[in-house]
Amino acid sequence: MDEKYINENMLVERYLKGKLTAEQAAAFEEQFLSSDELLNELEAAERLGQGLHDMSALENAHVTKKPTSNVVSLFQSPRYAMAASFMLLVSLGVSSVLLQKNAHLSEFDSNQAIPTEIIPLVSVRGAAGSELNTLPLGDTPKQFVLMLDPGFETYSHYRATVYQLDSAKEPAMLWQVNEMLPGYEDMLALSVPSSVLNPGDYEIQLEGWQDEWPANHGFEQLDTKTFKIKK
Amino acid sequence: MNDATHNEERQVAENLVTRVQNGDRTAETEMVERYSRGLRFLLRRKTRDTTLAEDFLQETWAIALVKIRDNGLDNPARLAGYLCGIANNLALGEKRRVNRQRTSVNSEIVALIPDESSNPFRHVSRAEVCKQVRGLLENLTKERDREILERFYVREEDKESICKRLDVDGIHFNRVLYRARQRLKSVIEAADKRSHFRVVS
Repeated sequence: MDEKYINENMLVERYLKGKLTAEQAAAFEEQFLSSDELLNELEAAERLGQGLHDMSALENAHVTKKPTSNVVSLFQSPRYAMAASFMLLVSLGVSSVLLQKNAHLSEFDSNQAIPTEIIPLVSVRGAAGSELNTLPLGDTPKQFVLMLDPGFETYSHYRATVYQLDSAKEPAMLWQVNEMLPGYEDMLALSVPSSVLNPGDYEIQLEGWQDEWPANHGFEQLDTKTFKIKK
Repeated sequence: MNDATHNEERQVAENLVTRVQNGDRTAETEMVERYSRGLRFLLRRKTRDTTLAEDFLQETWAIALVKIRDNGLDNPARLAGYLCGIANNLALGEKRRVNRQRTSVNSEIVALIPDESSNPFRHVSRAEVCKQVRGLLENLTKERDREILERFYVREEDKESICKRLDVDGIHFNRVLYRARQRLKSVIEAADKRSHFRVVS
């Protein structure tokens, strides 16, 4: 039961809510008994819950919430958001087609729309890695946008470096993007043009940087992901 | 806890049990200091009563030290598990309202148990935590993240239903909770460090 396992399985929160099985709870208790670090996490989560409860109670005591009208509810609903997103995508698609059809009317006619593939990269181990994270190169140039999970810790910004792997040689650095910030779903989007990639194995090293660190402090290594390019 | 930490804990536990069994009083102090914070936390969660938890903490040590001094433990490396077992049984006994045979208060043991003066999470007042949590929520850039925290901690909804309702994946959910916890932990620890500065005349 290491730190990663504890965070990924939300053992701290589940213990506090009494949602672990008797065996899980006993093993967890045995572990936190001798771990100040884990006890700090437990106490912080406990205080967070208490603080949120107190805040909510205070707000409810002082604020009488205006009843929400049906129209406002509609605009706030996830269904409306989904419908709006869908309409936006459709309109973007139509605009894109119109732009390409009328390219001769535009002063940007030298710009070609490049197909883009958005791929969430997953952590893989062993043989499974050969199946997952495999990207087809195709015949036409395109842009790969690789979605990376920055992990639990928050950093001021992130740096991703792509290395080409070759068992006969040292990994060769191929592409690097610095100053990355999390966007959609708190993921990092690493854009790599297909023109720099050839069929083979690749590795992405993800690093984090905190603004308060001194200049001579190095980036902190966060995660390594592998992917494969096939024809 | 990784393998190295796990092995270290086993070694420390074995060493402490052996020394206590051999009559080493320093080892008793070390043992009580090492495990009291965790036992106190466990007992406070189980009893929901700070005073009762303190009583049970003393009782846990009274039972454990007598046993270890006299007979040692079958599996000394699992000392933490043994202590948890006693604490849980005491708390469970209280819940069932079974007549407990209380051990008499042992002032020698009471003196060994560290107080909570070194624990920043018990120092900080409830009002201060509430203020810190408010600041933390104000710094959240996404309204949805705030809603995740509120739904999970205040409305006690479960992870699956929150993720479904707000259309977020489980990884994002875990991260919101983890980051909120880390931020609160850092501000409490930082405030505690600042409070340790004293004017020395």
